[in-house]
Amino acid sequence: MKNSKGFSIVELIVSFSLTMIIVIILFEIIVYMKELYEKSVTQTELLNRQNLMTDYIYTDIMSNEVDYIDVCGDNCIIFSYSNGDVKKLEWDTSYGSLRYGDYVVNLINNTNFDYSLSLEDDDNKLDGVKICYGSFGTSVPNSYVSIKLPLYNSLFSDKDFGLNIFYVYDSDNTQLYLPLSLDC
Amino acid sequence: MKKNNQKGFMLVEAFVVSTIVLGVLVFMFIQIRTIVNGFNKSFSYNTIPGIYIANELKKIIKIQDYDELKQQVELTGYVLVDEDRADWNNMFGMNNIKTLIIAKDDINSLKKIKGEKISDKVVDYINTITSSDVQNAYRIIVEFNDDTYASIRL
Repeated sequence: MKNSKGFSIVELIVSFSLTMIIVIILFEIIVYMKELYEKSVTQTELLNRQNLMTDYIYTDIMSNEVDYIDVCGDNCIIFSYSNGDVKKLEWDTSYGSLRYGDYVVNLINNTNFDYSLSLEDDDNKLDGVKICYGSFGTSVPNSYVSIKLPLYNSLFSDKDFGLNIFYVYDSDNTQLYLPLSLDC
Repeated sequence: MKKNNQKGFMLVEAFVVSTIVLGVLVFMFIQIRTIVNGFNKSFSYNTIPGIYIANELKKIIKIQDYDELKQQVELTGYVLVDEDRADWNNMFGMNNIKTLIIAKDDINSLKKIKGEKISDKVVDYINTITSSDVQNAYRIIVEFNDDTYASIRL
């Protein structure tokens, strides 16, 4: 009598093949979810820091008129407000930090300034910033200034997590003493 | 008398089980993809920098042909501010603006609009904006080049 117990080789091969395919798909899903988790944690942290710094600066700009904006040293821009407050926006490209007034943000790992941007003003050098300003029309407000301090993270090479300050003002009330970027 | 082998798997059974498992995996993939898309959208809509830029643009709009723009909005429901409009081309480039729309605050009609210059992504964003019943109120909707969006009331 033939032994009819057990599995045939064909059945084994097919079963193992199907199992391996499912295991590989599951493994890919786990790797994808892990990468997604790491990216989301980093993105959340970057956005939180960007939002807090942006909010902090705009709260001052919107609640008090700006008297003047000037350069206050290397990688330093000073904002003077109509209520007497004076706050410096400073950034350290080597250490990786950003400061506005008393608020300091340290850049997280693998986040860098845009070193291709550079401006000079008398004896001062501003790295990593792009400054544009101009005027439009004769009505009030009649002028604008844009101060961009891009920050890029290696995980999100096409996204800017830096500062983009855009301020519309009346040139009779606000003075600008900033250098102008060439590619405005 | 020969007995048929009743032990072991048949190939058909293996296929059926595999099909069920693969079906579950595909279903999970679709659900996860939906969650991830929603997650990405939450980062793109109503960004803080975008809202502040929109607020500054509001100052410009209010002094640049505001009455003419309001009349156009009342007629057509929305106005697409062109970057070729006087004084606006600098604003577009400087702030990475892709599309700038001025519409009524009651934007229910805008939710179904599709045009050459209004992409599906903008319509998707508009669908998330809560409409209001305030009369004679207008709204600015901004799409940026980095696929972020912001909107505030004028």
